Amino acid sequence: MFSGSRSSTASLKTLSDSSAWLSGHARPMWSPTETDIVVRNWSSCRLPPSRFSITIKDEGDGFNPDEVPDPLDGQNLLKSSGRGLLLMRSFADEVSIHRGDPGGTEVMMIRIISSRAARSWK
Amino acid sequence: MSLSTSIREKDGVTIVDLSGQITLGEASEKLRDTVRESLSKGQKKILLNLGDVGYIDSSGLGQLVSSYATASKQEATVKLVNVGQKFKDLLQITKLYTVFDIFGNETEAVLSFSG
Repeated sequence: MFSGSRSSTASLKTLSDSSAWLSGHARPMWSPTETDIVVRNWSSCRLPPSRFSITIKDEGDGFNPDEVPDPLDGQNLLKSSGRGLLLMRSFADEVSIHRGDPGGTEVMMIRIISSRAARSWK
Repeated sequence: MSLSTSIREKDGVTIVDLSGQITLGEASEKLRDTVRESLSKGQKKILLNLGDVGYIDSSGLGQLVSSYATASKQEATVKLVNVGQKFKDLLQITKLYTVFDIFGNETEAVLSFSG
C-alpha cells in the first residue's frame, strides 16, 4: 500500500499516507466526501511520541478481513485487488479491524516508534 | 498529486514514462487507459518507466497487475524499469517481483524484449 521502508521515520509517514488510502475506501453513510480520520500519539506534548496511531471509521456495510483472499497465494497474484490489508500489516506494528458502534467499520493502525525517529518526524 | 504519462518508442518498444503518484482513483485509471490505448494500437512490447513515480498505493499496485494481465491476454508484455528501492520493497512484500520483469536501466530493459 505504501511507499515507505521499514525505517521508523519512513514508517510514520507511511502510516500517515495510509489514511489517504483508507479514506478512499471508507464509505460514510452521511456524507460521500467525508470520513473520520483520527491520529493520536501516546505521550505528553513535551515528549516525542512513543506510539503513533491512525484510526479510520466509516458507516458502510463493512467487510470480514478473514474472508479477504490471501494475496500471496499463487492463484491470487494476478488479482487487481486485495493487497491493502497485507501492506497495512507489513508496515504497522498492530492493526485492528472491527465493527463500529452503532455500525460501520473502524480500522486502527499503530506504529511503535523510537524517540529518535519521533524527533525527526515532520 | 496526479499522474502524468508520456509515450515514446525505442527499438520497437513502447516506453511509457510515468510521473507523479499511482493511487486510487484518477491516477490508476490513467495508467489503465494508457496501457489499453497502447494495446489497442497493436503494441506488444510495453515498458513502464517508474523513475519519476514518487508514491504508489495498493490500488496502484493492483492497476499495474491488471495492466500486466490484460496485456498477457493479448499476447503482449509489460515490464518495469527504474523501480526505486521503496517500490522494490512493495514488490517484495506482495510477491509481485515474481510477476514482473524489472530492470535498472532502459537499455537493458529494451534489449530484453528482443530475446
